[in-house]
Amino acid sequence: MSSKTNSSSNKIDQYRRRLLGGSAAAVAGLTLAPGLILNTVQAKPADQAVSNKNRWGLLIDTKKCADGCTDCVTACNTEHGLREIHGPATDAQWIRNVTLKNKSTGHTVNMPVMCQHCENPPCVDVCPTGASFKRDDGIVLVDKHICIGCRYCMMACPYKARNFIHEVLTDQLPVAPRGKGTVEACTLCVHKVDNGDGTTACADACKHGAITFGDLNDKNSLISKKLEMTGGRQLRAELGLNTGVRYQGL
Amino acid sequence: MKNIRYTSIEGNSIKFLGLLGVYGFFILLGFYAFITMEHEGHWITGMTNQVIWGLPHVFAIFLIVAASGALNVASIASVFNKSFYKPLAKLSAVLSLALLAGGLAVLLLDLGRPDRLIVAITYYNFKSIFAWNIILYTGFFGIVGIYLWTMLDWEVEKYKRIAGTAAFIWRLILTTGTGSIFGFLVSRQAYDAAIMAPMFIIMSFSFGLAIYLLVLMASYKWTGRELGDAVITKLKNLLGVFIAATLYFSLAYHLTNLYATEHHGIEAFVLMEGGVITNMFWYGQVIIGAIIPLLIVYLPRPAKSRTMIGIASVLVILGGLASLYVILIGGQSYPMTLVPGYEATSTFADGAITEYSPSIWEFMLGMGGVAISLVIVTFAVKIFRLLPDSLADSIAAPQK
Amino acid sequence: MNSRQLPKLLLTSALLLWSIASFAASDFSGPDRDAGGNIVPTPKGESCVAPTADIRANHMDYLKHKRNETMRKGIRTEKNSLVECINCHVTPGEDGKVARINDDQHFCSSCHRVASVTLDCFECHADRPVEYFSRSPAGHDVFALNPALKTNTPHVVMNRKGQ
Repeated sequence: MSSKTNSSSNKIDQYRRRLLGGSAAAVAGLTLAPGLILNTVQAKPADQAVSNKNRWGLLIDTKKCADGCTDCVTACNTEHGLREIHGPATDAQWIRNVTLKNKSTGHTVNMPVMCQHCENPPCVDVCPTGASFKRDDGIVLVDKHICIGCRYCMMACPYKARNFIHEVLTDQLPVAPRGKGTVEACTLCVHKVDNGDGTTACADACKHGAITFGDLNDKNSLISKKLEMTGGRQLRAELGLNTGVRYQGL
Repeated sequence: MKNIRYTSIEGNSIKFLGLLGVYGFFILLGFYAFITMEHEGHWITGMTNQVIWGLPHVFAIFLIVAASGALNVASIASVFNKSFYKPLAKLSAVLSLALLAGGLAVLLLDLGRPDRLIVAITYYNFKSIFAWNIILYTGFFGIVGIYLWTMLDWEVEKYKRIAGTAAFIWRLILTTGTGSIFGFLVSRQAYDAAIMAPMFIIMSFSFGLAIYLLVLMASYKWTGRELGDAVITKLKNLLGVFIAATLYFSLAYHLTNLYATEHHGIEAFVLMEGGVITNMFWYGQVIIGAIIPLLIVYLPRPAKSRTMIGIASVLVILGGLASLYVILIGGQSYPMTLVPGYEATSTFADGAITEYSPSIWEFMLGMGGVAISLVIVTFAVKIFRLLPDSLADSIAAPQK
Repeated sequence: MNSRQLPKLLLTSALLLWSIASFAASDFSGPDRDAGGNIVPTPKGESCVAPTADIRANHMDYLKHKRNETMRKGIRTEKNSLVECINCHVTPGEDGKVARINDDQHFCSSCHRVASVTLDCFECHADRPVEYFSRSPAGHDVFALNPALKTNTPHVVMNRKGQ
C-alpha cells in the first residue's frame, strides 16, 4: 500500500515538473519594426489561477478581412468539433462572417463576429444560476455543469453570440465539452490560452492577418500597440459593455 | 350580510369525471411533448438560436401573469376591506396558486436541462432578475398558501388581513419581476423599457380576472348553484376597467417608441410589416383582446347576457396570449442592430427578420400547463369548501 | 435496552465490523474487479493519483473540485483532470479499439453500471483519449466543408498537436 502511494505521488511530481517546465517557458518576442520589439503572450504556470493582470481580447481589422473567406469559421468549427446537424437555424455557430453594407453610401465591410467577451457582460448579469461567468482574465464562459438551459443569456446578449445545443451530441472533442440542453459560445479558445499558445484557432487560421489575439492589459502587446496606433471600436459601444473584441475599419 | 355557507362541490357526476378526463388527456399530451423534447432536444420545436423563447414561454408567462391577477379579487376583499368580494376570495386564492403551478410547470419542462431543477434552487446569482423570480414564485406559493389557510381555518382567521396584505404586496413584486424579465434586456429594441413592469401588472389584473370570471361562472353553472347578477355585473365592470388600462399602457409603450427614430424599425415591424406579428397585434391584441370585450362589457344589451360576458372573458384570454406572442416572438424576430447605419447579412440571420413557426410539441406543452392549472382548481373546489352555496343577489348584495 | 436484545446487537456489530475490516484489508492488486466481480479495464499508468479505495470513495468530489478549479480559474494541472483520467483509464482492448461509454467495458461504466449510478459526464465530455478519435480522410476541414457528414458519423479529427 505504502509503495503504491509513494509511486503515485512521484508520478504527480512528474506531472508537475513536466507541466511547469513545459509551459512556463516564455514565448519568443516579435520584432514588428526596427527597434520595436513586442513581447507576445507569456504563459502562466498550469497550477496558478488566472488573474486580472491579463485581459485577453481580439482585434479584427475589417479592411484585411477578405470577401467570401471562411477560414476563421472553419478553423473554429474544427478546433471545437462544431458540425452541421439540423441546419443553420439551430446549429452552433460560435463565429460567423457578417457582411455590413452602409445604407446610404453602399460601403461594404466583412467581419467575423463572435462572443465579444465584455467586461460587463449582460449574459452574466441575467444568468439565474451563475453558470454564465467571466474569468478574472476577461474570458466569458458558460459553466455547463450548472447551466439549466433557460436561454435567458441568449435573450440578453446584444451580439447574438450564444448558441443553444438543440440536440444530442456525440464525439465531442476533449478540449471542447458540449452537450444537449445547455448554452455555449466562443470560449476565446480558452484551452489554448491556458496552454500558453498565445493565439486562437481563428487568429491562427486567418491568412490575411485580420485577427490579432493578445492581452489588452499589456501595453507592450501587439494588440495594444495596434489599438494605440490605429484605434479600434467596439460593437454597440453605446451599451458600455467594454468588449474584449475590437474592430478596425468600420 | 347574511351568513354565507361555503361547501365543497359534490364532484361525482359523469360530467365532473369527464372534465377531469379532458384535463388528464391534455396533461398526458403535454407530458408526452415534454418527454419527446427532452429526448430529441429542442431542434424538433420551432425555437432556434434566433427565436430563443417560443410558444411554451407565451403560455408560461401568460399563466404566471394571470396567476397574480387572479388573486386580485381576494386582495380587494382582505386588503381594501370590501365585504362584497369576501365570498369570492377563497376561489381567487386557489385559482392564483393553480395558475402559477401550471405556468411554472411549462417553464420548467421547457428548460434545456429540466433534470437540473435542484441546481436552479441551490445556485443563485442575485444580480439576475430570473433568480429573483424563482424566489418570488416559491414565496408566492408560501404566502398565498398561508393566506388561504387564514381564510379556511377560523382559528387563524384573525391573521387574514396581514396575510392578505402580504400576499397583495408580494404579487405586485412578483409581476414587476416577471415584467422586468423583458424590461431588463438592454440589448433588444422591443424590450429594455421600464414600462414593461407596470404594463405586466395591469395585464395581470385583466387576464386574471377574465379567467376568474370564467371559472366562477362555470363552477356555479355546472353545480347548479345560484350566481346573482350583482356579482357578475361588478366583476365585468371591473374587467372593463382593466382591459381599458391594458390598452392604455400598450398605447403609451408604442407611442413612446414611435417618437424615437431609433425604434421606428421595430415599430413598423410590429404595427405594419410583421405579417403574423402584425395580425396578432391588431386582430389579436387590439380588436379581439380589447375592443370587442370592451363593447360587450359596456354596451347595455350584451352586458346583460352571461354568455356574452363569458365570450368577453374568453376574448380577453385569447387577446392576452396574442399580446404576449407579440412581445415575445415579435421582439425576437426583429433583428438587433450590430452597427448603426449598416445593413447586416450573415449565415446567422444577422439583419434578417426571423420566421417562427411553433411546433405541435410546444403547443401541447403549453396546453398541458393550462390543463394542470384547471385540474388543480377542479380538485380544490371538490376537496375544500371554497364556494359559497349561493351567490344570489339576496346573499351577495343584500343591501340592494 | 433489555437483556434479550444485547446479544443480537453484539452479533450485528461484530458482523458489520468484520465486513468493514475485511473490505479494508482486501488486496487490490491483480486485476481490478467491480462490485459484480467483473474485471475492470486495466489502466495505462503504474498507479492512480490516489489510493484505489480513496478514488473509489471520493472520485466524484475530486472531479467536481477540479472541474471548478479548471472552469473558473483556468488551473489545468493534470491531477484529477477528467481528460487525464480518461487518457489513462480508457485503454484499447486486444482489437486495438477503445470502449465507448455505452459499452460495459468502458472504465467508468464498468462500475457505474453495477452500482446503478447514472453519470452524465459523457453527454458533453469525450469518453476516450483523443488518439482514438478516428482520423478523417479529409484531414482538417471535415465538419465545415462537407455538409454531408452528419452527427452520427464517427469522424473527428486529431486535435492534439504532435500526437
